[in-house]
Order: sequence, then C-alpha cells, then structure tokens
Amino acid sequence: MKLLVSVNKKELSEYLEFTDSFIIGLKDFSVNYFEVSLEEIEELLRKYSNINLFIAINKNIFNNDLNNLEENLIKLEKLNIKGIMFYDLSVLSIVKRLKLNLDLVYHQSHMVTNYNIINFYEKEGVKYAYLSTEITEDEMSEISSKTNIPIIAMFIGHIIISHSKRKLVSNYYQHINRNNNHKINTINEKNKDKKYIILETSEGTNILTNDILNGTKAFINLKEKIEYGVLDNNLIDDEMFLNILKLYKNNLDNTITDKELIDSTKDLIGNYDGFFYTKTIYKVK
Amino acid sequence: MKRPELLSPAGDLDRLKIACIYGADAVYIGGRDYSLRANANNFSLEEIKEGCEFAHKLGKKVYLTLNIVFHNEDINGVYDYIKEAVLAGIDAFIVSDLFLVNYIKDNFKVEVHLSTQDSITNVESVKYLKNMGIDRVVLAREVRGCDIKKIIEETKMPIEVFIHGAMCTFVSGRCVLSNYFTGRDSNRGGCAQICRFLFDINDEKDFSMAVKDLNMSKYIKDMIDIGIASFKIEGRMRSPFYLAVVLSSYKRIIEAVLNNTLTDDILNKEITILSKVSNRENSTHFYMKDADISDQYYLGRNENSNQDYLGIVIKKENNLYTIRQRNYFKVGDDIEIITPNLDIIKLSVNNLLNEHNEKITVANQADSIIKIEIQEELPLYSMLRKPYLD
Repeated sequence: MKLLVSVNKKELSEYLEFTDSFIIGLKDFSVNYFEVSLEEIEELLRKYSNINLFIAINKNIFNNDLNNLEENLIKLEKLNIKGIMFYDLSVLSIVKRLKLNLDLVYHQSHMVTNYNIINFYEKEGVKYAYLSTEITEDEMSEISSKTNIPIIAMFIGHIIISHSKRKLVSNYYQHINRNNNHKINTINEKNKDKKYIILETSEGTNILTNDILNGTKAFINLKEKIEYGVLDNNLIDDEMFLNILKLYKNNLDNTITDKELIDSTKDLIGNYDGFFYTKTIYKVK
Repeated sequence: MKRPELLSPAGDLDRLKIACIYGADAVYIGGRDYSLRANANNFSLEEIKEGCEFAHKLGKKVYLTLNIVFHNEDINGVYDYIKEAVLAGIDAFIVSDLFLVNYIKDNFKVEVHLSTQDSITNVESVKYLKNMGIDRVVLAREVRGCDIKKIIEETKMPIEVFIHGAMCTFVSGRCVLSNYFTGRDSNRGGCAQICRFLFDINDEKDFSMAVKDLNMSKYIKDMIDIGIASFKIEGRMRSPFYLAVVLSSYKRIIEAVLNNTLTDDILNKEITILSKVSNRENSTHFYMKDADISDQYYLGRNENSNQDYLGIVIKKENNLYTIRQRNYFKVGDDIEIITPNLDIIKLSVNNLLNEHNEKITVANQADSIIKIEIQEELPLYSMLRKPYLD
C-alpha cells in the first residue's frame, strides 16, 4: 500500500518526506476537498514535479456546469496528473466521448460497496476504485480479491456522512435571526453528547464525523490488498496529522511494528474505527 | 400534449389495488429484499404476481425496486430474484447499482429505470445512460424545471420526477446519517430519517434540518408541457386513504390540463385537498429556484395523525352500502365521499346501521363493519372522509 494524502493546503513540502501522492479538489467542482484553481494545480505540478496528484471532481454536475467541466477536463489532460476522482457520470461520459487520456477513479462516496459495481466501471474504462467508508474490512478484502483495478480506501480522517445542496446552517441562523460567528459548526442530537461537524460551502452543506477515523488495524491487515491508503488532513491539526503520516510511513518501511503503530495512533486520535468491524443493519425487523 | 404517467407508491397489495383503482397508471413496489424501504410491508413473490395480474387487468404497470446499494453479500441471490420477478409479471425494474443493467437487458424483455438514488442531474449523464440501454431516468430532486426541460429536449430520454410527498434534505445516495446515528443502512433501506431529528448547533437549541414536503400541483401544466414522462408520488409507507386522495387529486389536475379546462378555482380546490391530507407544510423546492429558508421546516416533528379517513365501501346492495369503518363519525355529520371515478360527493349522514342491521347513531369502533343508505351511486372502494372543501 502507498499513502495518499488528502491535503488541506497548497504547500506540500511538509508531506513530501512521507509520501508523494496527494488528492486536491478543483475549485467549484469538489465536495469536501481542499480546492484550488486549475492554474494553481499547474503551479503545484511545476513546483513539485514528481508527485502523483489526484484531482477530486466529485460534486453533482448540473447542466450549467457542463461546459466548464469539459474545458477543465481538456486542460487537465495536458497536465501530468495521476487521475480524476469522479462522482458524477458526466465526468466519465465526457472523458470517453472526447477520448481524453485521463485515468479515472470511481469515487461515488457511499456507493462503492461491492465488487460487481467496480467490475462494471472497470469495463467502462475506469482505472481505480475508492471504496466507501461504510463497509467492513472483510468486505474490502473480498472486493480486492474479486476485482482487477487498484483499490483506494480511507484510514485516517473525518468521514463525510452527508451532503446537501441546501444552505442548512445559514438558513437556520436566518430563521432565528442571529449571527453565526463559528468557523466550524458542531451539532449533537438532542440530549446526546456525540457531536458531528456541519460545514456550509458554496456547494451546500456537509456533515462529517467529529471523531477522527482510526483505521490503523484495517490498514495493517489490508496492506497487500489496497493500492492507496488515504489519510485526510482536512480539519485535523497539522502537527498531529504529520505525526500520524510519519508513523504510517515508518510502519510501511518496517521501522515501527504494527503494535507500535496501533498504540501510537490510538494515543493521538483515539480508536474510532467507523464501520471497519461493524456491519450496518440492513433490516430492523 | 403528451399524457404523463401518474406513478404511485404501493407498500403492499392493498395499497397497490387502491392506487390502481384511484388513477395511478403504474405503481412501484418493493420486494422483501433489495428495496430501499426495508421496513414497509413489501411484497412476496406470490404477492408480486397477484399484484401484477390485478394491475395488468386494469391496464396498469408494475415496477419493482431493486434500488439498494448492494454490498457483496447481497449479490448472489439477486439474479434468481430478478428471474422470479420477471416471471411474476413485473414491467420494469428500478435499479441503482449499474451492474444490474446489462444483466437485465441481456436476459429479459423488461424496462430498466435508474433510481433517483443515483442523483442524475444533467444532459451528459442522461445521454450516457441512454447509450447503456437504460429506458428511463428518475432525476435527482435537486434538478430545476428549466434543466429538466433541457434534458428531455437534448436526450429524448423518458424522464420521471417526483411531484408529491416527503423530500430528502440531503442529496440521494450522498447521505448515510442513518448509518452513523443508528447503525441502520440508509442506502439499503434502513433510513431512520435523521434529518427530521432536532439538534443543538453550537450554542443554539432546536436546530432543524427538516424540509417541507413536495407539492408540485401548481406546476403540473408546465411539467406536462415540458414533456415529463412520469409523475412520481413518494411514500410506499403511506396509507391507502392518502394514496387515494393524492392520486385522485393529481389525476383530476392532469385531466383538466389535457382537456384544457384547468382553472384557478379547480387548481385551488385540489391544492386545498392535497394540503389537508398531508398534514405537513409543502413547497416546490428546487423546481423554480435553489431551495432556501422557505423550504425548511422549523417546527420539529409535530405532525398529527390524520383522522379524516372515515371508511371504505366494501359491498353494495342497491343503495345500502357496507363500509369498513376507520375513524369516528356520527349521524348528522357532514362528510365527503371520494370515488374511483374521481368524483367528490358531499352529504350529511342521516342513517347508520351496524353489521347486524341495527340502527346506531355513532360509528366509533375502528375496523368495524357498518352500513349506510346513500341515494347516490357509489362504486366499490369509494372512501368516506371528513369534509375537505367548503
């Protein structure tokens, strides 16, 4: 497995000691990624000439986005990027229609949950699949064994759990006629302590887990089966994140043991392991 | 103008029959597996067969939802299930996971409709799906009217859109709140409607994300003009009464548009009926603009159970009608009767008998059998309700 960092800034030098692979969002086309313009992507690739850069184009595309999307994809083809992470089928459609030489990553958030759908997209020309965070380690392992394209999975980060086109936070503050001065908003269900992060952007509203996913045990078990393990820096303190990244790198280099990695990351971010070892309930009855 | 299909939910066989009788051109149903409403009663294969036979006799169609987002463990049984469902007579599958499309198209002569779970929002994606062989796309709820028009014009793909019922706050397929709050899998039929819960936000209490219901009645003419193929009503868990009222109301609007007889008075009457049966505020959400504060529902979960449904006609002997009673009413009450012919009949109750033909003055036992003598000719399955119209 290689480490793939979803960055929270344009300055990548601090990461480079530990990895050369990154995800960054394209301005106006991403959901829950740090976004930069096309020009800034060019600049990044000039500045860091040997990096593997995945571009996240993962918002729902509407008719009035299509021209811009097509122009951006044509320009991106000319850059030395590693691939495009897409959600909306229009991205796949344009790349195929124009025969663009771009490697695509099937990245439909919560819908990449079985091997058949990945095999379907492989036939459509997709080169990688980024698994959902709502499946177990065993399911990931089975997917890896029953698919041919490289698999990507997230092991560290706040997990996005919903996305709306509505401005839910500002609507509410408008309703109660108060200003909201919080940069990062948190919500909790009435009479319960567990918090979630709610963020409003130009594309709408996202809700994320307040707990940081610690998928270290799964990372260790899936090392040989997953091509890229994602560590997401967004909303995580930089110093702590770099510590974790360093630990992961050291583990891959065999300079720290699996147990040391598990213990150290637990000390830093706790042991919230999402759905790696908890199956979702299909039917209540 | 092309006649649109009126597509109704049906959570079980009773609802399917009511929907077909009350104006639906097609119904969508869920089987016991692979359906996004895992906690509706849903249909066994035998019931699917019976439902298809009933619907087909009336010239209606039946669509089966296979719209969960599959996990590995769900895959094995689905192919046999599809075969069985085709044998049972279904007219189309509504799928979300695209790997099913080729299998169905290669092996069976049934349509494949793409679920709104895939949140399709643009011309390019619809063209792609058309090339794949998909027969119909249920667009995302976030698509504006002008974009629906453009999609239809540029792709000629039959398009289905929701016109009435509950709305998701979040983009379909992009919400797993239920997974994280309750462990129930949103994309496999377990949605616990977390978006309707009340929250604290920062230092404030009573933060709500809930949105109003959808009610597109005032834009039905525009939607017919645009050429939308199918008007979909939400709610496989809604009651037969709700379905009858909503379907007959939209059917009357559609007929009036097609006959060029729709007036503001007629439309306002139907809007009143649709508002009364829902018990929740409604709006048109994204159809004309980006959704905003006016589309939010800040009153928490204060919907009351609806007690307007008084009973259904299950037998007639001359002018004596046998009713399966639902809610309280009494001699002297003014009521309305809706019929499968789309009529609304107003009358005062001036006689009541129990099932032994003894005179009574009140009907107050839910599910009991009562009889009423009524001069008007009523078809079976006519429904009695509290008055909705002045």
